[in-house]
Amino acid sequence: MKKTDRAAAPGGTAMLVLALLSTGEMYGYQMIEELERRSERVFQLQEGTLYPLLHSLEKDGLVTARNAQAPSGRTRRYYRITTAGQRALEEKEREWRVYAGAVHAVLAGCTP
Amino acid sequence: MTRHQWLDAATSQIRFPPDRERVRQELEAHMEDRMDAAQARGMTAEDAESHALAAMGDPAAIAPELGRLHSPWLGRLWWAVRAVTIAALIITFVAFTDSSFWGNFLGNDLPYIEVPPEQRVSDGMVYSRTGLWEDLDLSTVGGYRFHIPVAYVQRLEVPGEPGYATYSMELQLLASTWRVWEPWEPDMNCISITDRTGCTYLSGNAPQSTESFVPYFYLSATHNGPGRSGINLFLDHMPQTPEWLELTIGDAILHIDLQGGGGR
Repeated sequence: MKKTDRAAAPGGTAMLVLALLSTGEMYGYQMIEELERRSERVFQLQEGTLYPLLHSLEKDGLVTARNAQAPSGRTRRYYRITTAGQRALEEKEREWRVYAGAVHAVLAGCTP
Repeated sequence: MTRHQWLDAATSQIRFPPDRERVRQELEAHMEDRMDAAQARGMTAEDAESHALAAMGDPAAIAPELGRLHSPWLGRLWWAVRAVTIAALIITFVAFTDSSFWGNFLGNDLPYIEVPPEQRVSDGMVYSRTGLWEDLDLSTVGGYRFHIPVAYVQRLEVPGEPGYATYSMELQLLASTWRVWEPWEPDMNCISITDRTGCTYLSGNAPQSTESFVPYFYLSATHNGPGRSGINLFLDHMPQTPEWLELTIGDAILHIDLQGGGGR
């Protein structure tokens, strides 16, 4: 399957990132891997674009971040969803379900 | 493109250096994780780096957004503070190393002291210059840096009157400070001058007889300006070319050593 365009879904990658973080604290690379694994490689981002997104979520108060040293000695930045982030995720999810339902209804109507 | 070039390009629009460093570290850790995973699958280090770069995408695509997100105003403030600090350091440095700076920059309204020729005859009297000093740096007293741009001593003799000789001196004394709001403003009525011979010069304002030939001085000009003040002093009826002078001006006691650089 082709890579899915971020603009194609309401909520887009921000919703997916918030959904990932709602399961626990993660760092960027881990999110990419987890996203690929859970979507069975349907969602493959240009990895660089994850960071402007994370920083913008942080700026909006939807996630918080902290630096921590990994066992390898590498400094990683761990992100955690906030209560505001949880609320935003629920809102995006609801929008998404309405959208997906509408697409589904249209497709169902067109099927011979 | 190497990993470092990629990181430089991606973070190039973040203006605040500590922010830039933090984002760079985060992106670099990501690339290293990606490279480690690729090498674990058997790729060479070089291939792993190319693979990581390709996965990250075009740095030019994320640089503007990172720049916008990371406190551009803080960044601008940072650069403004840096620029002002550097300018202030340069001005302070120049002001303290080149004492003519304040004069050139802020203006020095003191009349220039004209150095007379080595010898001249005027009204039947012979004037010989016995000392000339230029650019004498004195000590810094009370935060004011004292400097003598020029000073000279000349001997006056009257032909036909052997044994009669008297000396006079003219000097310009400048006090500069970087505290432009606190220029040197001494009480000019509280000046006293002595020299090595113990001679004390009376203020020219004090009543005196021109016949008595007592050593005296007067201020021929004063100037108070931002950052720089100065006086032109004239001393007359000196017993000899002085080896040093001690000026007490207001709270400042200034020792002017005239042994080096003079005597011409």
